Amino acid sequence: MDADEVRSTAALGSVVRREREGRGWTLAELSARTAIPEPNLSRLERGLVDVRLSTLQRVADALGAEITLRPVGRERRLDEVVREAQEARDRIIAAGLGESDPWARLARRRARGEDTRVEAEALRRRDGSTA
Amino acid sequence: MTAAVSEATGTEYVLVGGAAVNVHTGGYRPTDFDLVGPLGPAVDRALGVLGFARRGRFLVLAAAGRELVLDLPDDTLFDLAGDPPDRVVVAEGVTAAVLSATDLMMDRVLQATDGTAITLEEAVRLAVGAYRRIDWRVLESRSRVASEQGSGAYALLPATLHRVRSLARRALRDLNAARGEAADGLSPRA
Repeated sequence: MDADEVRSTAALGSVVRREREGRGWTLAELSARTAIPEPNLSRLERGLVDVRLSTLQRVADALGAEITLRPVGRERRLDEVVREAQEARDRIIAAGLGESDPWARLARRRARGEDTRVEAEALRRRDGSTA
Repeated sequence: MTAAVSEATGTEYVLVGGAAVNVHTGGYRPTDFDLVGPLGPAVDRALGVLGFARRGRFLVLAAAGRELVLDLPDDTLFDLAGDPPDRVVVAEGVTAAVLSATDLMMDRVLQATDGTAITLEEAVRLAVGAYRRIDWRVLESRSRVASEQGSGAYALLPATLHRVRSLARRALRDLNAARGEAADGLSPRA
């Protein structure tokens, strides 16, 4: 998980909601995992409460996250980026969305009047295929 | 590539477009590398030293029977971008700047306002792949402001963003449910 800089209750709520949704969980599922009533979680996600640290810790534990204070400014190592990209790719495929088709993308751009010949030639050389 | 171009020209370029999508989600198979940064003859000369030759709007590096296509579309990021780029450490003391997942999502949603299935699918792929690295609250705010101040594609941004996010959430929920069912199926039954 990437680290988030949170500077307001609204931003905190947005992060919690995104993390919950990113796991495909409903509010009810997060409530069951944290033993925090669903309305309280809803208010937390909407940034309407100044949440206690102990409550936030339970939410973080359920989401597999940790609360940290760190200096601003961050770089990611290449191996981290590659691993996260692989996880993202697996998620996209598992969700049944299939892989992006470069030939279909070029066809769309051609239909809009763009000259795609240079890219198509490079793609043909790379893939050994045509479309 | 991004780091090499930045090194050759002595200034930082930011990877955007499909190659940036590939960094965030893998499997995109970009047709070119879009880099945002300084433009002009001096840049062409610096990249010529690396072996790039201009072919129309592109700079192409041919090697080992393959071609690497570089596009420098602009010297500034699109006007709805608002984050500092991600920095990827590719080697000791060498970093490459990549458009953040949030800004990239904004770009893909803007493209999806054209109403075609392919741009919508691309936006949903990015949303599913990088959902937890995207600041959706910021996107909602930016798209709302853009729609109030602009017309055309900008006017369609909030509804398109909502659709992309809804489709991504549904896909992630279905995926979670399917994984739960699979786990149950593997569990020993009394």
